Amino acid sequence: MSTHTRASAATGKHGKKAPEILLGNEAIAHGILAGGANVVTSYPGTPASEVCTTAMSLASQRNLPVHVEWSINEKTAVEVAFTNSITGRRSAAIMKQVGLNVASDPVISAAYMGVTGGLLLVVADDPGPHSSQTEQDTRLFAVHAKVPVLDPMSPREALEMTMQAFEFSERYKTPVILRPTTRVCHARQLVEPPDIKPLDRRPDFRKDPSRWAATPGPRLVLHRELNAKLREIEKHPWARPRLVHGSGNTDLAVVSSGVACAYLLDVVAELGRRQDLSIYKIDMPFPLDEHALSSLTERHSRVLVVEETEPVIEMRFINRERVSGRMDGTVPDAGELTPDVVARVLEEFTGARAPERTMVSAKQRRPSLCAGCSHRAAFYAVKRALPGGIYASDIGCYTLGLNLGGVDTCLCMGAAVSQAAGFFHAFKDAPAPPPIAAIIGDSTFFHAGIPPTINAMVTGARFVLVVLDNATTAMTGHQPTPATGGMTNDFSGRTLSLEEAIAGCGVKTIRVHDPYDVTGFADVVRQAYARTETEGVTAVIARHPCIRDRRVLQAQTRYAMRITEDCTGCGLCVREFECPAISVMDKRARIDASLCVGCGVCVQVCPVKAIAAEVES
Amino acid sequence: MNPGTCSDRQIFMVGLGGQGILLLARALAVWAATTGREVITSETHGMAMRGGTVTASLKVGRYAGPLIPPGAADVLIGLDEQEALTHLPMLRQGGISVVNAATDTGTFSHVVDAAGVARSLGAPGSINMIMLGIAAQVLGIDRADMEKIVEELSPARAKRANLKALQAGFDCGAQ
Ligand code: SF4
Ligand code: SF4
Repeated sequence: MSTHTRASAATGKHGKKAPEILLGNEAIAHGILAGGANVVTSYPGTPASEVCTTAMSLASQRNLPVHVEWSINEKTAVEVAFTNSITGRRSAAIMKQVGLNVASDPVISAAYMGVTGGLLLVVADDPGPHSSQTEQDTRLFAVHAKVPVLDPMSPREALEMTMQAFEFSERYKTPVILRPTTRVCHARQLVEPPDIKPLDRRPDFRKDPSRWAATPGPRLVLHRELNAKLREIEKHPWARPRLVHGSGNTDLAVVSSGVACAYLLDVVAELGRRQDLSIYKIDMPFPLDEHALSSLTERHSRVLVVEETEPVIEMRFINRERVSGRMDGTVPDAGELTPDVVARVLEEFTGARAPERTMVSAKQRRPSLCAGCSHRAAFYAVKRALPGGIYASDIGCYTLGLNLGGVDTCLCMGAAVSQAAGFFHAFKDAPAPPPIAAIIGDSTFFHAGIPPTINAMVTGARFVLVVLDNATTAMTGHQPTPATGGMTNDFSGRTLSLEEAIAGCGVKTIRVHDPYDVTGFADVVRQAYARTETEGVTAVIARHPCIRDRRVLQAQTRYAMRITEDCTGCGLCVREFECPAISVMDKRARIDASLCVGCGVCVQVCPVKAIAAEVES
Repeated sequence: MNPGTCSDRQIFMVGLGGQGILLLARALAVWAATTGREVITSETHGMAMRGGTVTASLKVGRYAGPLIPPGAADVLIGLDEQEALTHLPMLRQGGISVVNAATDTGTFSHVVDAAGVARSLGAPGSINMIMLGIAAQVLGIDRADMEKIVEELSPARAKRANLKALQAGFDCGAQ
């Protein structure tokens, strides 16, 4: 997926390259490398994942002297990138918005210290939310962290901003955040890929403990310095409203940022390019030139603010009497600003009628674990082994185990383990405490599951830790894990197995079993659970590779499946197991051959043995 | 929508995760770009790709935003009949709908049993390429141009199968 098809065959050998249709995330990756980054770090997360994937393949295809790594988590990614940037070299760290929460500690501290080489943090927001646990607005986080934030409205603008961000960062000696949203990350547009010529900068680390190792005293000095930087940055053109439509002398004005601005332009074009309206875009919602912004309420009689997701710009008007937006309810206070929402808001604001729309019902097909997915088998077996238990789970494909009742909680990365401990302490003195399992994916365990496992071990919690090991970060597009290796563009570094990592946390019993053997796996979980009485935390690794990899499917036995006359139509296979290939109609189960991958696991689920499997030749 | 004469167009695509709608959308986008017009698309990634509803939008012409508002699509391509029905309000009055369905109920302007064609090819996973061929035929896209694009976009091991399915699509679109 790393090659980009040229839109036109003509490609100049020198000078400008032919435009290519790039995904927003691919455009950002090109911008990072063209901007001279020497170190690129990331932890995968939708909608940000393709940035690092693209940077990694560009770096290895073109043999660039750039270090690209999938870091173990976002905190580590930021720390590695930041440190490269205090040696005068350029770096980028990429994550999704909730990943920024994980990285918040170094980010906020780095803002005080500043950088000597450009540091770009790409943080992708997910209004909707489509693939996230919250709709949090990174621009608001940027205000809290005192870090400038750029808000692109398209892949093309994201590319331009990315390339300029490094010089901006060096000029003001501050980290910079680029905040694309899902609709920018996952939009494709014709862009001219810039030339990639890595910056040849020798590392130059000037020891300065009062900055790089500051104790609370010098921190106050750094805080004042940061405030002065921000006042300076407010004079940058990015900090002022930029007129993108209309004359600027109209009664009504709209201020917007990000992709919402693009929708506004489309709606206005559809309405015949209304000349009675001025639209301004804010490229950098923080820090803002508050006076330039507030002067809009003097120039226009009413101002509407359209932005995702929080009223970050709206809050900054000194006098909000003429301002409407999220704060007065003109713009809905949650959810994505889609073109129809923007059109409705504009209609309300201008009093003009928007084109008639029939709404598409929100009824969307719910996603489920793939047919043949080993996670389904593992969840089913855990339910069997620990009936009436509490199953604390986590973030990844396997969260979909909730469809079959195998996931009771999903809080944030790594919380399966700490929530299992929390449930243990809550129930330990109850009359009949339920069995407790923490069910977590391999990549998630490495990301944030290790400290809570140690914590549980040393604080007396008792539960069975089930690690779903499919040897990949499947949810976000199959990135490597520490156990698979290949975390960098040059394949340096060793691997670390799950067994080693879990044993290192002090866990004594670690069993490995293939969950396709449902009965055997359930036995292993039962035995491991029995030992929690004396050992505290015990672990079972459910090991079976992800079947989204075709080679995996080709390598495993494939069965031809059949439902026999014995089927009673009880529906247990659908309710409790939920393979998308199985449905029950007219009191009889049926298997859709176009969906079934022939894993044969369902044979072990039917109580009357009505599912038959025959090895396919 | 022939090159040179094509005006601003919005194409909405819908199917289920795993059906390969993104490759179809990309091929159409690359084709649109060869006409010398501006192109912007939107794709669904992430959780929904596990069997959930997956949509893609392609806007050709002077558009700034990647999403198509409801009732504004000129063309709807449906890889799944149920999903196409749910998303039919995306289509404007008089818009064209090209849908994979076993039987023609008169709801859509073009109905083809792409799943049936895919089965007869022995490649049940090739509905996306068959539908691309059909849609390309309906939209008046040159067959050789589209074949070249699919060849370039397909990973090496899927090239032959994708081309075969695309051609089958063109053939049934011609009927
Ligand atoms: S196949 Fe077995 S579990 Fe499924 S409905 Fe029939 S009897 Fe019940
Ligand atoms: S064999 Fe059974 S469990 Fe496996 S994919 Fe087919 S129907 Fe689903």
